[in-house]
Amino acid sequence: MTLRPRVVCRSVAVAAVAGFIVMPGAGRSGLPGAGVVLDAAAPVPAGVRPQDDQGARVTRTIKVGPHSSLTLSNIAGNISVTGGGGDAIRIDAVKHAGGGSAARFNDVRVDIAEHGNRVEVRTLPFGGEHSSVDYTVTVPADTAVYLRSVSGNVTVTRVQGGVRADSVSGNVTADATAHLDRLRSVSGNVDIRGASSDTDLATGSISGRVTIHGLKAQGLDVSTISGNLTLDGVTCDHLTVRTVSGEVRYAGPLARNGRYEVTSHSGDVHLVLTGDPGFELNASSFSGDITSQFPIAMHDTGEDHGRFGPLRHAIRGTYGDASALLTIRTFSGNITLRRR
Amino acid sequence: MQAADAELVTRCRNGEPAAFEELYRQHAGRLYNLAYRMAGTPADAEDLLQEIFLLAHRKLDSFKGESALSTWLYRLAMNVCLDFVRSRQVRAGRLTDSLDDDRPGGPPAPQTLPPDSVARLDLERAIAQLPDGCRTAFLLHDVEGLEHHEVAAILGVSTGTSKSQVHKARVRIRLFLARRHAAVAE
Amino acid sequence: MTGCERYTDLIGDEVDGTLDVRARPDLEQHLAACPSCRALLADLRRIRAAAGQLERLEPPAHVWPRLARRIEAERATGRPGGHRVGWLGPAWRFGLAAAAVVAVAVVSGWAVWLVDHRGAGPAVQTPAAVSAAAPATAAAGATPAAVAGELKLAAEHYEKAIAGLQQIARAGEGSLDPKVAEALQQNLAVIDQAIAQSRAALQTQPASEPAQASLLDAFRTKVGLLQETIELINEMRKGNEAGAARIMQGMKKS
Repeated sequence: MTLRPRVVCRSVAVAAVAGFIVMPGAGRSGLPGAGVVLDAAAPVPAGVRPQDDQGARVTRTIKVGPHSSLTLSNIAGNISVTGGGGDAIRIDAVKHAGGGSAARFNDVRVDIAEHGNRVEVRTLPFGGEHSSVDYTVTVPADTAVYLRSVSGNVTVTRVQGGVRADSVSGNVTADATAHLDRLRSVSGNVDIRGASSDTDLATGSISGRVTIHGLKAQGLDVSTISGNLTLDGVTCDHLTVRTVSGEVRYAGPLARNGRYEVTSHSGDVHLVLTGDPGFELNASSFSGDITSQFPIAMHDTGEDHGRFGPLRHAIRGTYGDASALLTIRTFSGNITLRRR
Repeated sequence: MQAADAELVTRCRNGEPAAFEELYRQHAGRLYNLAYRMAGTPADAEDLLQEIFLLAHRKLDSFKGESALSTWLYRLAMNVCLDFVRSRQVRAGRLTDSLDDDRPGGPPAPQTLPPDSVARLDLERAIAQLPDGCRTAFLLHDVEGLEHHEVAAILGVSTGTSKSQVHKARVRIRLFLARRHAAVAE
Repeated sequence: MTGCERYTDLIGDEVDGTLDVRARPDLEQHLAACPSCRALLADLRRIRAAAGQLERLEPPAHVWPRLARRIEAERATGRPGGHRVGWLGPAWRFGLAAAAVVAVAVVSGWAVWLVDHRGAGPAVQTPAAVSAAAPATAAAGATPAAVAGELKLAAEHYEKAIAGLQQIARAGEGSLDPKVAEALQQNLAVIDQAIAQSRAALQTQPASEPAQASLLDAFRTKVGLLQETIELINEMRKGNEAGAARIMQGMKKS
């Protein structure tokens, strides 16, 4: 079979990181938790070293056309990518000594490859304790960035071309970004501010918390196991929130015909709704209390579950035009609905 | 079929677990991307990828080596994806090919696309709205990088049809991007 | 415009880079005189180039292990298992049997092989008795007793699957960074507490839907987290074998 060369090169040039694989725990798997897709590549056996000594710092400026993409895989060390104007991707990689001799930084190599408008950067380890590398990158505003780190933080600011960012033990932060796709950590926190996604965004952490301030997306899937979840000013058509012991706070409007599903075991679920919501509510808990400031017209009895009415463990009914659908389930977490 | 492929297929048929994983590793990347571009979401693409390889596992015994292994897998994958897409369309009550743009005159030729209009996500949208027939050819040729004769073998059409389908797709994408850019500019 | 249709094929070939050398003068003569076709050619070239540079996604790492389990399940039951494991949704009750079968398939030779295909991994025996005792189908009816019975059966299957997974995970934990392993352990403990609470609730109120749903949610979550851990271990190990070669390859090419 004859393939164009770039396809073959891609499979070889796949980001090689000596580190950890956790798969994306997206809605499909039902797994509350974060996932990071990384390709594990072992350190080359000791004794093999790259030909040239890069030294402690690697900088490169690469001119790119519109709609470029940057793929950056790191092991230890932070990644910071900022979108600006201009027509070049500027990479500044600074190595910090790991265990062993500090004078040479030959135990990691910063590998930068250009394929037309596609720039691929990876940290290659060469055995033993390796230095960490901090990357500071500026890209044109319309660049798409795909970032992975194992034990470093990943920060993306003002990138408009598309963002995927994963870390295992570091924090992941996205600020004023558009076209968000996936943001995940395993034990770190996820912070999203002033962002948008034009399709579905999957985000989460296992033990870290997830905080979202201002996000516009079609669909949003957020999950943790023990971290708290805060969603403030989120606009989306369907929302899935899953946690075991994290506390869930949702403050903002409900989209008309939006579908909202929140599942928690022991974490409390607080919804503070703005605007003029209308919703159908299916709320159930084994031992948690369900209170609603909105009078709910109950399906079974037909009567109104009035404001601050008697506590119940299951509520099925409607408020207003019942356009949005809220499905909230906990085991022992309390569920509250309030107006802002 | 190439010798290496034939050997791998034999090992798979013999039930060697490592062999099927090797088959998976060799082809999953390409087929996943194809499924993603056909289905639209990574979650669906993941499901489809599973179905594709399950089906491949079941049907491997009936693969006679009449084509290259990758051609056979692509064809299988394409059928799985098309089934999925069509059943989804039926459920949504949507018709597929709406306007017939094969009229001799064709749509009015726009000016050259503005510089920033071929953006990645716009292009992805454009591809997603293509009718199934030309979308499959476009994905295989322009996105996956296969030659027309391979695309033809996969889709069961002539090389000429592959060329015309790819051209049709490109022209539709061009029109979509031009309109989208005009709409955004307003 | 009608004259330009004649050049459709040639323009297409030119975009593909396969234009017959004998047809080139004809095409170039036309292009020189036709701004519309020049614009078309330029745009189609850009579209093709951009299509080739679309992001290439990697299939998630967990696809192969799950696929392997399904294949094994098919082999074990001897027939195509058309069921998908529905992890979410109110249909959980009717997926119990299916979920249980797949969960059992985890504890099989394939799972061991996934961890260390040289066979040096822990020997986890296929509990033949469990496989043989095929779970009752969901068609048994939705009476409280039937549901409680199905739940009990599903719980047993989940627990066996979890035990198997835990054994595998523990064996391979050394491959993980200690801090990550600790975070994963702590979160497993959180889930275990959720399981214990759900169980206790079911003791007092066996018919409680929220309690049933919570228990199954927690089981699924735990299985999922263990699977993630194992895949993480797998990739580390696989990396240690194949990664070295890949890096050498990559170094030569770059």
